[in-house]
Amino acid sequence: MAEASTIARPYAQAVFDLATDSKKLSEWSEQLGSLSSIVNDNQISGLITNPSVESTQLVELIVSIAKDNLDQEGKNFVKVLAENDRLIVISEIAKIFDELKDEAEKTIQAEVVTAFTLKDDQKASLQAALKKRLGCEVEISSRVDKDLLGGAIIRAGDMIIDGSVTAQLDRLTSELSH
Amino acid sequence: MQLNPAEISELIKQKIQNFDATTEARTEGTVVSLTDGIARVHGLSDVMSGEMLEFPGDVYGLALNLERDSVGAVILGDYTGITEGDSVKCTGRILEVPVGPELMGRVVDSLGNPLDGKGPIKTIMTSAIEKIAPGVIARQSVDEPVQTGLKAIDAMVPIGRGQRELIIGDRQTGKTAVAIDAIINQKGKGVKCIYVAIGQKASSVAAVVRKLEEHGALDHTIIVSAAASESAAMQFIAPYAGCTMGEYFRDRGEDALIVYDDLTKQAWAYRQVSLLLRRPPGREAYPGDVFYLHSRLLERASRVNADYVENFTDGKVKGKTGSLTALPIIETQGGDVSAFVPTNVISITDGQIFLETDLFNSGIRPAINAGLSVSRVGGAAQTKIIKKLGGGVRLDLAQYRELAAFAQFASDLDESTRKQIERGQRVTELMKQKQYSPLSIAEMGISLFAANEGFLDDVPVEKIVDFEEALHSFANSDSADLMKEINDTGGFSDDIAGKLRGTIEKFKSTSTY
Repeated sequence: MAEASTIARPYAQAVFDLATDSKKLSEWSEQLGSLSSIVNDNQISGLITNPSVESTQLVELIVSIAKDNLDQEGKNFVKVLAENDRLIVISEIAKIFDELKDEAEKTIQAEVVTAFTLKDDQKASLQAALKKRLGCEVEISSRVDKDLLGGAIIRAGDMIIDGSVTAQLDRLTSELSH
Repeated sequence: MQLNPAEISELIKQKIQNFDATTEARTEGTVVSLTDGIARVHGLSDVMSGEMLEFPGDVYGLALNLERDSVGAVILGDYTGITEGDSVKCTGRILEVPVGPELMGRVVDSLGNPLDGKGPIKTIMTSAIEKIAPGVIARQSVDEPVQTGLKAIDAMVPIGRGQRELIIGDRQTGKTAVAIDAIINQKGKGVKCIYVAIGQKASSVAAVVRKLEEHGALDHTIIVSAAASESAAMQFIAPYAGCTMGEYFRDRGEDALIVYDDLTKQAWAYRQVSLLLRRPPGREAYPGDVFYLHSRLLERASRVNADYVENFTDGKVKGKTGSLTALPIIETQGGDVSAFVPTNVISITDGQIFLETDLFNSGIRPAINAGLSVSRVGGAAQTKIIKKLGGGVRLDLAQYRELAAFAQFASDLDESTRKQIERGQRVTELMKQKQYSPLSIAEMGISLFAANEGFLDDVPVEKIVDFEEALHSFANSDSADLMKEINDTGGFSDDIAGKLRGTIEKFKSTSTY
């Protein structure tokens, strides 16, 4: 959500700066990941939005669930969020943090959707082509969607390269109907 | 079922062969919320301001607010099919409308789609709706007239080609009628017309179309209609779309006339869009850039010089100047010209024609207030004969206004004052003109000449209208050569004055009215 990401950005930036200073980027990424999965749990998110639950209780609860996954700084971070009543945006913070991390490490996540399962050499050549085009390391995750009929859709951040047969047929349809 | 001409198999084959199947990289976003035709879109990291966005189902939007985490876009057209979570694509293009002579005689919406059921419009070109007006180097001063065919306007507030002349007045004062008469009078004069209807009843637009058709004026006219039922976004962009269609002719060395009916409603539509986009409201709840909204539109109406036209057409059109004349219309509430939008547009335009309810109700139609109506540049463009004869009329009316209050004490007044009042009454009567009956330059000339030379002084006030009508038909049949000479040259000399005097004297001695 647009508004949540606006709220989350300064937190993510602060955590990111802290993590770069102490060179703990991947640790923080893991911590934020586990925190966001905790907060996304239906029961927990119900408690967070419940006004009768005190923020100190919430901190204790989340820290006890996360157990060893949190170091001292991570616990402090949860406390700060609880005080400011912003626990609900943790998953946004995690997302922005990962983006910042990718940017700093010059990598980008790309999702490739194809009609048939990609072979390893195809994946490698795609990776090389995307690396050339985007100018950074590309991590590819692939998914199969039979509806595409053929070709592939590549999603990297906001950018979409749609080379699927369905999309071409759609464009041909609108071309012919005008 | 009827077969559409576009469905011939040869054409389909060509289309399929020429279809460009290359893939394109585009940025995509997701609809976060959709309220009252405004979509908030997350993503779209490299969208441009004013860029066209593609929503699912062939619906387009316009990116207006670029914020850190979201983009605010207005949806052009039907937004009922769009839901939260739909993907939105950048198109990399600024909003464009079709332009060209193929649009003549057609009724289109703000995006150039036909509304008149006469089949598809086969335009070749499209052009961006938001453009920067020609700069100072490209301009030329206004020195050719646009004849509206209304004596009161052509004599007292003349309009030149490339001028912006505001038509302002309350509701039901004949604002649209003045503009429609001006369009009808362009028939056969080579001036292309564009009538932009913004926020009007669809029935009013249909009535205008029918009237233009009846008077054979639809063939040189494009009608852009954003009726009251269209979304605010469509009403907001309609004037820009119409202006782009007019600029096509201006840039190719032709003359065009555009009527914006009316800009008050466009400002309302823009206010709605702005408030929904959460831009801060200012005076009368209008956003801060409502002045720029109108100034950038009206600045595009201009006279451009031959060099500009030659450059624009790559040397195909040489030695011809182009012009786009604008007649914006503003509706005031209770005669209040000091409201926000009226004052803005008055200050932008090169003069205004002020129409008044009182005059309209007392039977003076067109209900032009001669004292408050001005034309700041049109004088230089006026035809010689009208310029020579029109000055007297203006003076007579000005003196009459000062003395009109004393008119009821006529018997106690001195000779010269009474004469001025009587002259004023006759000139006021003479300035009346029926709707849809534009006059030629010669007809106007002979009427003004009769008033200036005192030929009307012995005609009873209530007979003036009949007198004028009879005089015109007499002059057109008896002195056809003289009338033709005046219409062709527009000049005025002692010789012509003598002939006019002769015609009027002959008419008065032989005819009844």
